[in-house]
Amino acid sequence: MNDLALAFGMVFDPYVIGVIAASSVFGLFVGAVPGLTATMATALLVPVTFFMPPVPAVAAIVTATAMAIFSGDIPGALMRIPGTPASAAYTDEAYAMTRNGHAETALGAGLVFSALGGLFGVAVLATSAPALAEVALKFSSFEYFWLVVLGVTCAVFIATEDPLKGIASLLLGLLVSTVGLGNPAAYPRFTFGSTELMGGIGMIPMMIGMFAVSEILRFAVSIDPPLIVTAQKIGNVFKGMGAMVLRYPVQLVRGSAVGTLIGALPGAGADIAAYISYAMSKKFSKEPEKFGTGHPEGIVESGAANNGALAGAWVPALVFGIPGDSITAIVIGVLYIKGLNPGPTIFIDKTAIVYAVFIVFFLANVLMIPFGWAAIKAAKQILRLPRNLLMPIILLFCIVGAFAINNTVFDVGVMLAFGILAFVMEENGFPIAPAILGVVLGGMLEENFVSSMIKSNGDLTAFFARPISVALGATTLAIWFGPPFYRWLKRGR
Amino acid sequence: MKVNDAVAGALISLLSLAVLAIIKDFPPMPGQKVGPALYPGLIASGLLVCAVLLVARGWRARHAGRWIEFAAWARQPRQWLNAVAVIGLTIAFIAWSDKIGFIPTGIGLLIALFLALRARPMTAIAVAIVATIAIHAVFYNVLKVPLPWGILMPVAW
Repeated sequence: MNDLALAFGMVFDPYVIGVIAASSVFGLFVGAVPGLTATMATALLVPVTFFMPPVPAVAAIVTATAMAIFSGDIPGALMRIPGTPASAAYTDEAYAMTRNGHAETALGAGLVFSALGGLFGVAVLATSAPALAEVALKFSSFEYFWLVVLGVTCAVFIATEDPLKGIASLLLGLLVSTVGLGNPAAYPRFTFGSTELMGGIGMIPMMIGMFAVSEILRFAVSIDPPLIVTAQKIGNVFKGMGAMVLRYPVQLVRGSAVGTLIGALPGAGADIAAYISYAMSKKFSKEPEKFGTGHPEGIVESGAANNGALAGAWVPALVFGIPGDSITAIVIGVLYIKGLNPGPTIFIDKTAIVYAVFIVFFLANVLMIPFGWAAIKAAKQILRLPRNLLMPIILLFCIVGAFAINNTVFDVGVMLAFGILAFVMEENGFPIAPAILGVVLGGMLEENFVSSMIKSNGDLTAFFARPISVALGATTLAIWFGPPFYRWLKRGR
Repeated sequence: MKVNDAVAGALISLLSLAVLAIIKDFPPMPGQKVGPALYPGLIASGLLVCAVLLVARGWRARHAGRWIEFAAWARQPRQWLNAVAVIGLTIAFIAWSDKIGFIPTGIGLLIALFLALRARPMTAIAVAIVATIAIHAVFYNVLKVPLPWGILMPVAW
């Protein structure tokens, strides 16, 4: 209880509140500009949060991402271009509503149900994470090994269309994580005599490259015509929202729950949650024929899902140090820098800070209503900003951000190299998320693998000797070998 | 620009073979069966398997498309120029920012990139100066990042 009071004190501090307000505006802006994503918002924030105490640093990221996921709906509804990939699932629907003259209902549903889905996700995070941490305290290196393998398996098989390219991408990420001295033998691997590479490839410059520079490159080569905002008056966005909550309570809860769950799966984040929830909404709807014609039901469900996913992703990130999506992949790096090493013990040693994170999450989703309303009002001005001026400024910001971490231009080079790599990979259908997960989890995977091998003296059966590790291992192997085995069985008949 | 899976696979296989060659020289951990070579070795072997499967898949699909396909943007010289501008200007920043200083390099980078992306010259110059000074103020004055002054050292503020 004392910790909770302490946590409230940490959050309701004028400096932290100021950071939350500023990050809200930043997040809403980034989300609303097509081509800038919530993950990019996080990558751009990291160099700034680098210089903050832990609570405001985490608060900035939590608030900015929650706001960005909502405001991605704005250009979706007004221009049929999703502001972030998380809004892509229902962009056509929202735009159809705008064309029918219901822009305010589309945006209002996006706003209100984003906030409600987010609050649901926070409730799940605040209740399930400490409970899971209790269980995780009993984990040894064998369980952690399987947990990481299960995590990357989910990222490859659930979150990607092409598992072969997903695996290749994951392995590339794992390989990147082996560079430097950070291995159990402390032997300098793949450093090629460079002292800068001794400490490994800087995670933050790399993330800025993969999530921001690659988007800038994509904008630079795009041949899309300039954006045109549909000129339409937007009325009161809150009109009829109460009735909508009463009309679609099941959709709201289902979207929030599915979203939170998908968010918690490693590698799958808000965008996949929105797609799955939209499809589910249509499947279970009493009037599926109305989907696509400007019907709010799918927006209710998937709008709640993408914001629920955001909070859900923090569950494995805080409890196990396994990111639930690309945003938490960056967050984990920030937590380490701030001395808040994720893992079950954070719930014992840093209880007040963990509570503070929950409070910030809650606050961000409540603040979304007034701030989001203001963003909708300002939408036309935001969307009229010329992107050919915005993108170069973001590039300069990225360069300074990458430089700021270690005050060296070497990291700017790392940023550029990974920006180009991410761009080329995506052009060729190699998904980025597994690579990121590989980089973030590579060290943890090796550490737990090697210490397990040493403990068991090289005996692989030890990986299946403890009850929880058997369960985790069996699940992993089932995902790997289940589908081909099933196909073989079917062919055999 | 999209390459056939076989081309991607071949490149990845080169990478994994290089890794396998390098780790042969890694020393074992004294008294242990597992050394620093084991883990990258497993990863590179896995990557090699993926690469072979990609080559096989690309080979089977070789009649479906060209070895290298240029997406719509990649047939426009203008788009290539833009991409080269982003990459080249960042490299120029890496090479010169320390000597010339953050503010002049930053302004130069922005003006060049604005013009490449077809902003109006006067707008480009004005926005470049304002944006660079603003970013400098945030990182140098507020966050205390030691951005280099370069040639502006005598008038540093």
